[in-house]
Amino acid sequence: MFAAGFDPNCDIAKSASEDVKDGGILLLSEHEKANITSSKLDGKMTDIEKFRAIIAYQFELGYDLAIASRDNVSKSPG
Amino acid sequence: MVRSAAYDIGCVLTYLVLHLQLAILCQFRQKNVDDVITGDLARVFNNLKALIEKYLGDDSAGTKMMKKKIEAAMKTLEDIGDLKMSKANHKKALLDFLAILPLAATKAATVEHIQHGFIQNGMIDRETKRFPVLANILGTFTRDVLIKELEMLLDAFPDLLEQVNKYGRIPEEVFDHYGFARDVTPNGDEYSRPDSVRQTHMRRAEFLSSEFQAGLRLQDIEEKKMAVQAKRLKDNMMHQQHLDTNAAIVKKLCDKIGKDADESHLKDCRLKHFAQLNSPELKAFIRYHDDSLRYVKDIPTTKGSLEEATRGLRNRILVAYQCRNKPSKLDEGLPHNLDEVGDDDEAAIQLDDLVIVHTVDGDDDEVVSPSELLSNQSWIQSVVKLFCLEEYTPSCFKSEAPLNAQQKKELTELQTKADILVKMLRQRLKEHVKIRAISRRDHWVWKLSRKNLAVVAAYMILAGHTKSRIACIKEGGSLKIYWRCLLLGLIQTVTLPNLQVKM
Repeated sequence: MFAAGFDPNCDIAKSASEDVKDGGILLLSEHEKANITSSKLDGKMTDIEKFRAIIAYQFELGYDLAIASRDNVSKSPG
Repeated sequence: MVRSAAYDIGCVLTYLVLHLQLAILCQFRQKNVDDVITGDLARVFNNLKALIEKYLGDDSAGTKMMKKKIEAAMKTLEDIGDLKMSKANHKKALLDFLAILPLAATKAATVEHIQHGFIQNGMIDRETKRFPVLANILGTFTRDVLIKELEMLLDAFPDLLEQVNKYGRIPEEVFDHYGFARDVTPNGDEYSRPDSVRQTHMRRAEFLSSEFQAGLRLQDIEEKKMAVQAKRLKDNMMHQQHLDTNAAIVKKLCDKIGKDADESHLKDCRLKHFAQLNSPELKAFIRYHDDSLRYVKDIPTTKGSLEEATRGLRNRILVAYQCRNKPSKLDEGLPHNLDEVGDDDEAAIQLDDLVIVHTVDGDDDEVVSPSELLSNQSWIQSVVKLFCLEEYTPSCFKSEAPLNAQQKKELTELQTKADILVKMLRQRLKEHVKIRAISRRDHWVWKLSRKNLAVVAAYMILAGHTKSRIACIKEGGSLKIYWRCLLLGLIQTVTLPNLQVKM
């Protein structure tokens, strides 16, 4: 089992919407930032919540891809 | 395989010259090329299948009318013995299918759907839909293409293109002459594609190869070259006309102040001298000298009067006066040198201009590798703190003091491992997108995910989740090893306690 998570209220989590070079976690271009903020994810999410969701999806996808297919209960990574 | 790339590009360029219809080439390639089948990549057949399912059972007036006509035609064929359907349900199924086929085919075989296949395999580029994209064509190969093979292809390309134009195909001897590796069968056996007309199976794609058709093709190319030459000549004439006009205006102004015709003397001209020019001359002067001018429409519409210009009212006189000290924007040289363009240069221009050689999709975004992220102390600290990885992170990433030799070695190994890991993840993502995301492969989110697999790979290294020997998979290694490693999985199964999951 894998688990990864973070406190959404901590200081670093607030930089979720930033590119790596601006102190963020993900690699984000301005165009991609605009795409994320304009996307309609489930529920009424604020912009920062959307970026957190993207981080969550990204890690889920990465780990799904890294797990051996026979050990992965999901057939649809990400 | 590289032979096929040369061939594909040559075919496309010649195809562009001939203005063949996309659909015809699509069908043409389907029959002849087994490396890259445009028809399989086009959206036509998938859509047609879906549309047929959608429209089957349609009882609209148009379909009913079509069904009646086809039924009548089938009955006629049956009466004269040309159609024999042993089972009634077969006939009904055929009738239903034929009645809705025109409707479904019209919607499925749109220009965009056909173009999609050509774009995917690199036959045409996405932007202009005119030029082949070498990188995408090479990307369809099942093996890696060596750099020396690529260089050989580019060097030989003008001659290969000429062969296609002259003969409609590139003979195997030409490929042998340049030293291209022979194609191989799926079993890995060397295969020489026959040139003989007796065999249609596993032949290379070719254009109409009769002397008459080749002559027409060369004639067409020659006409297009002449058209390009005529356009260049016209460009030069237009440019020379602008130069002459500018020189005449400068001379006129310099005459008014009694000096030789030189732009450096224009600084001595006053408003009254500009007021003596006519409106078109002022417009031309502004156009040639005002470097802040973006559009011709931004030039004042009227000449105005000297009095207005003196008062500061913006008219052509004032604007021309204000830009008198600015040098002419016109290039003294002509845009095209018509004398020195020889055949060899033309071939080089064709290759440089027409063959788009760029990196495959996503490479631009992959400039940040996991190893770079793992060299970025600020990023490491953020991730470690955010995901509470203090106790899992290797010491070489945490040490604030200069690293000792062993730590440096460990750091290098882990960075290398991260770079290998991201390559494997990206390969798996590519396969996943290919298999599962059939309809939205171009969605921006895949590009974002692909790019950020570098972040995930770097995180896995920091968290110590990777297996110790993922480097067993090397470029050029056997697919069996590769797939065995895929099955083994790249990461260890571990449990991470003490982590807050508050997403």
